[in-house]
Amino acid sequence: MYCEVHTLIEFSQVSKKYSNGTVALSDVDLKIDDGEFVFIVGASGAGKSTLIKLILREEKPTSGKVSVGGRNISSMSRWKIPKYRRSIGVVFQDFRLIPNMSAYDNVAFALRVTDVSSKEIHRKVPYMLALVGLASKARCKPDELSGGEQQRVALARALVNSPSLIIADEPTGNIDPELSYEIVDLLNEINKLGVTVVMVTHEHNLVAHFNRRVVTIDKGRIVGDTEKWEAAVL
Amino acid sequence: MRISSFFYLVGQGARNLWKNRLMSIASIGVLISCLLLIGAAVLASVNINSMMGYLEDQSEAVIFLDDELSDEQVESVRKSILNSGNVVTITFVSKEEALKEMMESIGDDGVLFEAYSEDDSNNLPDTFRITLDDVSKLSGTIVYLQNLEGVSSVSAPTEVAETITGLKKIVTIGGLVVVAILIAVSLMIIGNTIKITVFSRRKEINIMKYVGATDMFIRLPFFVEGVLLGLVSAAVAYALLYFGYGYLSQWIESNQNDWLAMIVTSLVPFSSVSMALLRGFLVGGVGIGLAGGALFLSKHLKV
Repeated sequence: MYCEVHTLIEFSQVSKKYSNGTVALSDVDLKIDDGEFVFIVGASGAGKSTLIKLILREEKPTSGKVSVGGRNISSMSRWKIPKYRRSIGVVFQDFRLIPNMSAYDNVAFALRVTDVSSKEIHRKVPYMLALVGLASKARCKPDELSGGEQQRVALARALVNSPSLIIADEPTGNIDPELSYEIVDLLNEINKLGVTVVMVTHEHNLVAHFNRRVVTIDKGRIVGDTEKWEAAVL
Repeated sequence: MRISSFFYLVGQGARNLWKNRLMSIASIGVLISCLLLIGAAVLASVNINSMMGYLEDQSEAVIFLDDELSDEQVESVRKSILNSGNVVTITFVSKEEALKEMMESIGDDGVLFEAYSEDDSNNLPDTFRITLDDVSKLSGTIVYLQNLEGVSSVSAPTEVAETITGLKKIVTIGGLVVVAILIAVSLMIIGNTIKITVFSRRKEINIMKYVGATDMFIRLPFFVEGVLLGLVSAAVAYALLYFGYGYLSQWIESNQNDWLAMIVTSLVPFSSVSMALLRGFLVGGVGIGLAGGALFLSKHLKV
């Protein structure tokens, strides 16, 4: 059976220079296919976060073109950005949960912004919390949850809108090493459902363990792009 | 936007007021103080103007008529005087009444003038006494009156009129300047309070942007908060001013002396300015709340 693979994310000759003169990315060419699981690795200040910001359309490239789902997002007008972001699930190192909302409300919030009916919210949120193993902690506030649990709430929030792409920016940076594997395992399971996962990390053990495509960035340039972890690149 | 989403956001705005109650209390406190200061300045200005008006009413001009005018001619002069457009009250004082008044004002020695009571020997002229609507137009009115047929001369307190006109100008301009300064200072203080509120919740706003919230979705709860803060502050400031003004009026009335007597007669009742004040407070309070949400959020929405 022949299965056609589409490019989901494409960077063509992308450079990004900030107003303070810092060159974050230089002539980056990168293609990520639909359904892939990609680790983006690199030292601090290498340009990983800028790459994520460009995908999220938080920043615009100074030159070049960033396309997501065949759409040039560099020229996207501001009012279209919210709708575009709803197609992406994002997980951050610091979880970014709203502190005065319960786990349930944090997940429900991502649905509310997309104008989903209350009935649909009541149906989807418990399902998502159960999926990440937090059904019993739905009423807990973020400060009543452990780091790993908070990250799982963030993951449920990222998944609840059924995105085609999950961006995970150092999702294991603030949690215990043994729990890190659980989080990436979850991302792995999500990827098996056909969701593209782009995960930024600098934890070599994790990258080596999961044996997926690895894109290495150094000083704003892609210096390595391998189908699996090669210790020499870092 | 769904109706349910709209009500969710409105409810969210109201809940945020309680969740961030310390900031809410601070904002309400600042807004009440500013509105009270502005309200007090407006009331002071209105009352000083009213006192000036009272003094204005007291200044009387006297129009001396030619001798031997017939009743018809006197009536014609009265009509012409009223046509000047600047006359509030007009009283005809005949030469007999004038003499009687003069004798009464002198007291016991007034009997000395009794001999002049005879028709031919009373040399006082018939007069019209008028109070003016606008003393600042006094000189123009005098010229008009002096040129009327049947009028021999006009006596008017021009110096008093000039002083009152000058004082009124100073009070009006001074009042406006004070209120304008207070409004500007209030806006700066309230602006900063709103900035702090928004800054303390910038992470929340940031998260909303990442999950794809539109600017309106983020702004609406802030608008609701702003409006509620404005309404509460306006109501409290209005109530404080109402009771404070009432208390002050009572105190002035119960502690009357010479100069306070003038204030009492010209004290503007609160009811005559209450609606304008309440409107101003509501528009100001709610407007500031809305403007704060519109202006100071924008910086954090550019994510």
